[in-house]
Amino acid sequence: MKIRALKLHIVSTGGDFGFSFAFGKQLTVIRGKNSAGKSTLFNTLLYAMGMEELVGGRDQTVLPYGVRDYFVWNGERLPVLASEALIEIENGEGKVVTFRRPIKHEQRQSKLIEIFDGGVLTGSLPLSAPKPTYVHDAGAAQRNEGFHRYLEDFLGLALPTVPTSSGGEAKLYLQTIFAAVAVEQKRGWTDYIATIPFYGIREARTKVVEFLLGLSVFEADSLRNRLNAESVKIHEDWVKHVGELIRAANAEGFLVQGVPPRPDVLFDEKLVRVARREGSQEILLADYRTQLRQEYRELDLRAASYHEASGEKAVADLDTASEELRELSFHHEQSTTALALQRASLKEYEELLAETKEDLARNVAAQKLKQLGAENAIELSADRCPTCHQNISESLLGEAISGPVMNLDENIAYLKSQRQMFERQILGVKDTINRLESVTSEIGRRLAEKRDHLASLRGDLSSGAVQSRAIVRRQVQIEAEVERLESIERLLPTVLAQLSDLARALVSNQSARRALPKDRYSDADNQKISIFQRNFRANAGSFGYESADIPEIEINRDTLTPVLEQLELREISKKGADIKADSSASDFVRLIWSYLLALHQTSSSPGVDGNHLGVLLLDEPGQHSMRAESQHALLQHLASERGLQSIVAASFDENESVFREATGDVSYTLIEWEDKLIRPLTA
Amino acid sequence: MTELRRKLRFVRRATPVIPEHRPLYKIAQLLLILELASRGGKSSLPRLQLFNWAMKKNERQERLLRAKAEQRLNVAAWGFDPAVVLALRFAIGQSLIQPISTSYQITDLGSEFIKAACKDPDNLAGERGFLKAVGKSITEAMVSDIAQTWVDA
Repeated sequence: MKIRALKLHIVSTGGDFGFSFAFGKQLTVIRGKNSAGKSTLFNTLLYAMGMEELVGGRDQTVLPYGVRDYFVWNGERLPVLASEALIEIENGEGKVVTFRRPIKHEQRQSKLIEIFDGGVLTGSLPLSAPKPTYVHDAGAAQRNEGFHRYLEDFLGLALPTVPTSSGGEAKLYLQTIFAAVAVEQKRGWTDYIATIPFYGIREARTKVVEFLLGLSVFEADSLRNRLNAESVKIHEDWVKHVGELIRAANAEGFLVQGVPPRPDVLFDEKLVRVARREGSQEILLADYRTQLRQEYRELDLRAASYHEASGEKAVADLDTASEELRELSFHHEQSTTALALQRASLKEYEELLAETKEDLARNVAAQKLKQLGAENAIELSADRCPTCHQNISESLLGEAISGPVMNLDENIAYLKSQRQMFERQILGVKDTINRLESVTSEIGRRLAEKRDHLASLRGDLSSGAVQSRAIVRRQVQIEAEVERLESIERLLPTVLAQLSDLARALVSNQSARRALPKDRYSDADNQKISIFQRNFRANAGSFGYESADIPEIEINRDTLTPVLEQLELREISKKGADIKADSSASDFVRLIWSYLLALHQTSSSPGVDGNHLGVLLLDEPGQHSMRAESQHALLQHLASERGLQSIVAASFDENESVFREATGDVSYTLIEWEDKLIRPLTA
Repeated sequence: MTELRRKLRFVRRATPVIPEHRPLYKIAQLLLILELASRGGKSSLPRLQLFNWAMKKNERQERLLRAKAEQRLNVAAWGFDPAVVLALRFAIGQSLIQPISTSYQITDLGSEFIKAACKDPDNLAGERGFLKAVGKSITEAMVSDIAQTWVDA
């Protein structure tokens, strides 16, 4: 990618204003005093490419008021009526397009970027047949009318899908890639690739470097992520189906055996039994249903011979029914008692939990007080008596308690584990209560049925009816129950088939996961990283880095950042965690230069086939009163790096001799202006 | 033989402590009583003990709130907590509280300390809610009326 030209066009009450610059194919130096508008130019450049998120904002708010509100010319304050940015870009195949993006406009929104074929700025082609695209709308990176999608295609990139921290997947957005090639002045020099906008991408910086170096990790990563998501789905489906089956069976007083609560590769649907307990015996669902049918047929026979039946038979029936009723009542009594007990203990646990939580809150308060006391030099915070400076117990009634007492941290940890225990207990008890409730309700229903039956029998006996109401009633009940049981039987094979499918899916998921490469990087990847490391070291040496021994610096294989003895090389941290990994501020900036440049060098090395965009935009790289000779080394490298267009905005300490030293015998295109950046545009 | 060599070993574990028995916690409670619920930051010992006793249970707090409404304290007696006395000693040693003729007064240092502690809204939230609700309505006179009955009886 090459940036050919940039134009800012402002319509004000005083006429057309703005600026228009063309950039060199290699190094372009933008020279300007502090606050002369270098950053306005730089940010307009990013804005025109839809990359203003790198400056930390969206839309025209990242641009200074001078291009969207008013500016001063010849001592006169001129309001901005409308403004827009135009940029001309060339891709690797030599195709040129121009983007036009409004900054301030009555009708057109700043989300709109119009694309024109050809070079409108350098070739002075007419602005005709624009293709409208949008930035920052949902789908700007995915949909065809999205600008970033267009730019990605235009630059010939195929951005990979990467895992997000929420467990899903997202595209490695184009803006994250640009963060590695465009460094703005304010935050850009605080870290390696510091300004990646937040999209919830996990380890975004590492992913960006992996992409730029053309490493082959994305396919494996994407596969691993898909397998993880699939395994979660298998688990969810399993729990759902099992729950469905168990609920249906429990409602009729049946238990499901042989179904593991979590997905299990050893699941065998032949081992699944649905049975109910009657006393000490277990009856399978099918057998129970046969029993019911049998009973139904017997009732039919008895109904036929009813009018012949003797009073004795009816009395015997009545006795049996009463006996059954007593037994059911007993069971019902038992299960309601158990339920009441469980409910009581649930209440107790909940109270204990509430107490524990309160105790915990108070302990945390005590800890805060202690910290506060330590800050205010209160001796009690150090467990010392303020009068005699002797050590005192951590408890006011310490004398009355024999043995050691927990200190605050231990006590808080202890209460937290108590809380966790209670929470688990409560879950368990709630589970039991659910189960008991369904059993109790089932027994209750049978009890009601039996009472009905008994009442009908009594009615039959006293009225001497020709048709037994008791028999009819019982038959109706049996019909209803059989129907319910049949619905469970219909459900069973579908659920079991689904579970078997899930078990098989789990097997293939696990074997696919086992087949994933153990090491993150392939041999070819490791080789690329080695080249990257070599380039980085060489750059650091020529830029005058001296905070550490350069041969000892390595590129960490986990984060792909420079480390010294496994510690990331950073700017001096105030807390002084480790002196070895600290660099002075300007030395840290040298490392960032080395890093960014090494990314391009490695990407364009033979055999690497990287994805670097081939441009490097640096706003004020000479941070922290960088030595002029280091700046010179940087410019020299940039100017001689093949296939790299670099645009460097710098003030050179507002010093002519620094400028001359830094740019001496370097070939570059110079952009500079007198006084004000925004001036009348000449047609 | 190995069986004989085996020994039972006991490890002495520390016991948990009621948070209000942590010296600074109790002191903070006392400072709160003086700061939020006492006129001029002054209170007698029986009155401090009354508040301390009330803060231990919700129904006791409700009784004090009722006393605020009725302007009469309907509590026959309350517990005297040795922890309060010990905490007072420490607080005096630390110059957070100073003894004056018949009562105790919060010092500037104590006032600063408790104000800093109250910057975090979650800190001592329960105590603060109760004491703010009661305010300075429980007077020394109300307390001494009750205390008088103990002497007579």
